[in-house]
Amino acid sequence: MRPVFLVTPALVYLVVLCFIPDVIMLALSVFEYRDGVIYPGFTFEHYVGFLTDSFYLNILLRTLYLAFGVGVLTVLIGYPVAYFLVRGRSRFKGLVLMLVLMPLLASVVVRTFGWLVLLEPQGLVNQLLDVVGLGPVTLIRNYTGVFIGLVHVYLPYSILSIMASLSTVHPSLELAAQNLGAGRVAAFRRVTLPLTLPGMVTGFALTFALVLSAYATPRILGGRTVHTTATQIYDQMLFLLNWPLAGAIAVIVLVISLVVLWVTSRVQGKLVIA
Amino acid sequence: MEQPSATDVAVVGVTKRFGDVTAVHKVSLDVAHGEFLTLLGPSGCGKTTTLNIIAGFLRPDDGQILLGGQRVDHLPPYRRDTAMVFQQYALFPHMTVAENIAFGLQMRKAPKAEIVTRVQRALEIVRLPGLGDRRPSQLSGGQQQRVALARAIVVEPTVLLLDEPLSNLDLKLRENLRLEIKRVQRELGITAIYVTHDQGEALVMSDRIAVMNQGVVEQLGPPTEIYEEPRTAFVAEFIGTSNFLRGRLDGVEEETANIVLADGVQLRARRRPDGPTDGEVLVMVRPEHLALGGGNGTDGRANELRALVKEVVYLGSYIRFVAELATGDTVTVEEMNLPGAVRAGIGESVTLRVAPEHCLLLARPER
Repeated sequence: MRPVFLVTPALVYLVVLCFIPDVIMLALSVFEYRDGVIYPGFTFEHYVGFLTDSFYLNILLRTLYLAFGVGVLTVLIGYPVAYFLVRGRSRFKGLVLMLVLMPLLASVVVRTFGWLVLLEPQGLVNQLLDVVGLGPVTLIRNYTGVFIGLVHVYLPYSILSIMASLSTVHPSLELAAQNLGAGRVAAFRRVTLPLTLPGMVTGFALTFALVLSAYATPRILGGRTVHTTATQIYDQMLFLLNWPLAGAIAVIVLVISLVVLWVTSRVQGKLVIA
Repeated sequence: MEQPSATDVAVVGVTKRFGDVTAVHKVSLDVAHGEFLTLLGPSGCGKTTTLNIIAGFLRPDDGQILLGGQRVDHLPPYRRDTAMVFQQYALFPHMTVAENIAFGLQMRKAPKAEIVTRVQRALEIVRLPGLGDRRPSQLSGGQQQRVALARAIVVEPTVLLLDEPLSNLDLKLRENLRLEIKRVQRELGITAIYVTHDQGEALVMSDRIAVMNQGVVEQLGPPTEIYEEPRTAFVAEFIGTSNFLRGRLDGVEEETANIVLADGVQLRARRRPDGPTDGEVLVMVRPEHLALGGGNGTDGRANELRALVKEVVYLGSYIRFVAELATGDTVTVEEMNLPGAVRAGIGESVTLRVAPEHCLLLARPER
């Protein structure tokens, strides 16, 4: 079969459900909006408005900060897990892998409600903190709760990216490094770490982009007090009916995601040695 | 404990079990300074496990490893003065060739200037000068393995360990590189332990060969001894081509024995002092020692066997005949393709002659 036939179904799917809506979104973002009514037109006032209003700008910066933090943390705590799963010889490997993948099987809403139960003032986490004398801590309706929830939701993506990268590093490379006199730390730092950097970068970029567009977790764990770009887009569309502004925010988020993905893929190109 | 100072590596009664399987059973080896020892055997015989135990990648369940007279079996790999050449090269893909070779020296905290000169010299020794700035991926398989060799020898280890380094290369390159490895080892006077399942490599390269089977060293000796004086049927079968004739012992002297084959034919064979004394035995004969009938090169003492030619294979410099004895045993005969050499066709009945000193008495393995 000619290759074009092989990609046609996916291509049709993407064009109809992704590319066309994106074009509509792009068009909407430059339409005019007066007194709750949308008029076709061409204006950048929504972009200018969003990027000059300190309220919106603050939301954007906090969201980026959140995405960066979650991205870094999932990579840092995901790496040891990925290492265990790829290199470990434990008989609990299968169980751990299942635990890692399980979050992907449950709906994000279900998982987030689970965190709500755990993190609420009378929840299990606060009861435990109380026992060790760290007192009740507010863990919901703020960025802390959202952060905890998002790390959990996106951890599997980082673990899977790092696992993919680690499994391309032949174990004999680590043995060779040790054989040449490198201790475990030196062998890891000089050989394994540089060779798995592409996986770490992929994991970070994936998580970063996903957190930028995350809606359910910030909404449920953050309540009405935590705003992110995604919740802002939702509110603008459904409550304020300001579709052009929602479109403009969405385009800004999309552009940021694309820039991050582009930068990381450039970095990848430099890291990966074929 | 008496350790001759010339012994670089001593493996003393090493045993390694994986679950119920004993991979290595009470293996003992002494490798002298500058010696090239080969661990030869089929896959699963424990040769690679033994090498990994010497390198420190595996802990033995029992026994000791000594490097330069010092016990090292409790030390991690990075505290042992060994250097390994891996089957899959195991070059660091994110480093240049020069960085790869420099790695071991950096870990040993050698001064920068010294590293540069030693890396250059190592590249010259393996005949890859000027390739220091390349990435391993830009090199051919043979070149990569030369780099791996350079990376190992540059640290001047007590022992160089080679784990089937040529098995990923094609035949021509393999034959070339085995002489090359041997040359480097000889020139540097470095002690080496080489693991292979290729008897040709073992015979060409080794000072001594340890033939391993099912976790045990079946025989340890120089290549000539391994080929000419195999102690067991396994060794005789694994190295070179062997014919085995089944028979029963009928009288034993100091260095000879009389054997009766199943069809009643009498045979005289050479017997080692520790050889079998009675019962069912095997007589091992190499194909090149069997002569096709009609020849006059024997003195009347030669054993004679009647056989039926089943197959004739023309191989240029020599001709191989496959013949069936009256006992049902099949033998292979190799005749040099010289002018006047005896020829026989398929289906022809022939007489095979073999001198008693070329018939080696072996115990019949329990199957």
